[in-house]
Amino acid sequence: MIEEYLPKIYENCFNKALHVRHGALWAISELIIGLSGLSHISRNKKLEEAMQQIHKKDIEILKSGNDKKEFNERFNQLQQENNISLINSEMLGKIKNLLFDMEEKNLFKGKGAETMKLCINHFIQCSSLAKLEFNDEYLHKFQNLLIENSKHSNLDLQLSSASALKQLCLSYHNEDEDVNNNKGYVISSISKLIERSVKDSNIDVTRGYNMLFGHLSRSIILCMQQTLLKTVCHNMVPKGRANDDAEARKYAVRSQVEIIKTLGIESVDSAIIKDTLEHLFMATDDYTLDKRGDVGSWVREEAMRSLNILLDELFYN
Amino acid sequence: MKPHVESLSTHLCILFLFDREINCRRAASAAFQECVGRQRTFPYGIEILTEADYFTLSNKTNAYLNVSCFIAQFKEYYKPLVNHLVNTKLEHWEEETRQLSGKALSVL
Repeated sequence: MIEEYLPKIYENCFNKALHVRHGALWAISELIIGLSGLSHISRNKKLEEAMQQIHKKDIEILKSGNDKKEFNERFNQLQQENNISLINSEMLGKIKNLLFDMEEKNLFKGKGAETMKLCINHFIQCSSLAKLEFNDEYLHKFQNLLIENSKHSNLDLQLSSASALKQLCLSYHNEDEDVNNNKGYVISSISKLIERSVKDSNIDVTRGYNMLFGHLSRSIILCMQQTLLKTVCHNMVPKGRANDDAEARKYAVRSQVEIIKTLGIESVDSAIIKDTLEHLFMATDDYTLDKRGDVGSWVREEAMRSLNILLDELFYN
Repeated sequence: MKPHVESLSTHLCILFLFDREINCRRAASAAFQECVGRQRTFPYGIEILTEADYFTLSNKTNAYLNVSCFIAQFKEYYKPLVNHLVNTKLEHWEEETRQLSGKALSVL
């Protein structure tokens, strides 16, 4: 079945029509997940989301119809088998190179670029989740694509870039020694992001980068712990500039607590924790107004949520 | 009727699982039910009816990701379902349908 349909889907990735191209690239990402035995994760998540929109009584009816225990057991077992080897090596090579071949043909530009960029993020997230083997050159390119997408003005695109980067980091850059010795490019590009998250005049860039910081893996954070925590902490409060962005501050607040959680509160310097708490209190006092109204409320709400998480961590550790 | 049973049953299945409109899915399911009751020649008709009914098909995600898996276990239906997803639904005009079709393919 794979041999019959995968080449056709692959060819459709280069179709001129946006909807055909999008469907094909999305399907290849999903097939990678399905063949690597992880489709149950996204399936269950999607079903849960769908059930939230249904009345409780109806959910019970749906569940009571699902009484085929034997089938469910067999299906769950089959679903978790790793069958990625069913894709022949030539096709797998083509799939690994797919994004770059598409980029070469300018298929991510022009009309519908946002839709295709969401697809790129999905492809990278799925390939990382399936832990397909990529060399450093590919991983570097993936990382650059995600960083580029995180600068987009579309919030959905930024959020999906962040979650794809999280998966990429977890799958490929999560071993301390490896990141230190062999993956200098990861550290150098993240360091550049840290600088630009403070200085850049484009609010989409500062918002996107502040969002990304909360999704880095522990090994990457450890390489730049002090600078990262101090910068994000600084980004949580207004800098008194004309292009200060409330949403960037909101994501900085969220990321700061995420970074501390990823590191484990016990391994963070107590001075930084104190500084973070002070800045969180300052964020709860953010009453910035602009033509959209009380935009500071986004920061205040996020600060309250983050304080809750941080104080919980402090209390239990 | 006999020569048409196989194609009718698979087409009705595709319709009640993957149609965008809830009314079409429910209508196809009702038609399938009638055919199973009257013809008794639809492959695995009773088994399918226990899973694919008015309620289980009312939610598109449930139809795509849950009911379709159950029906795909029967050889007669598996290939037409995959064929339809690849050739038609992955090129659907609606983004959500394309995404769901991708997920359904991965699950199948």
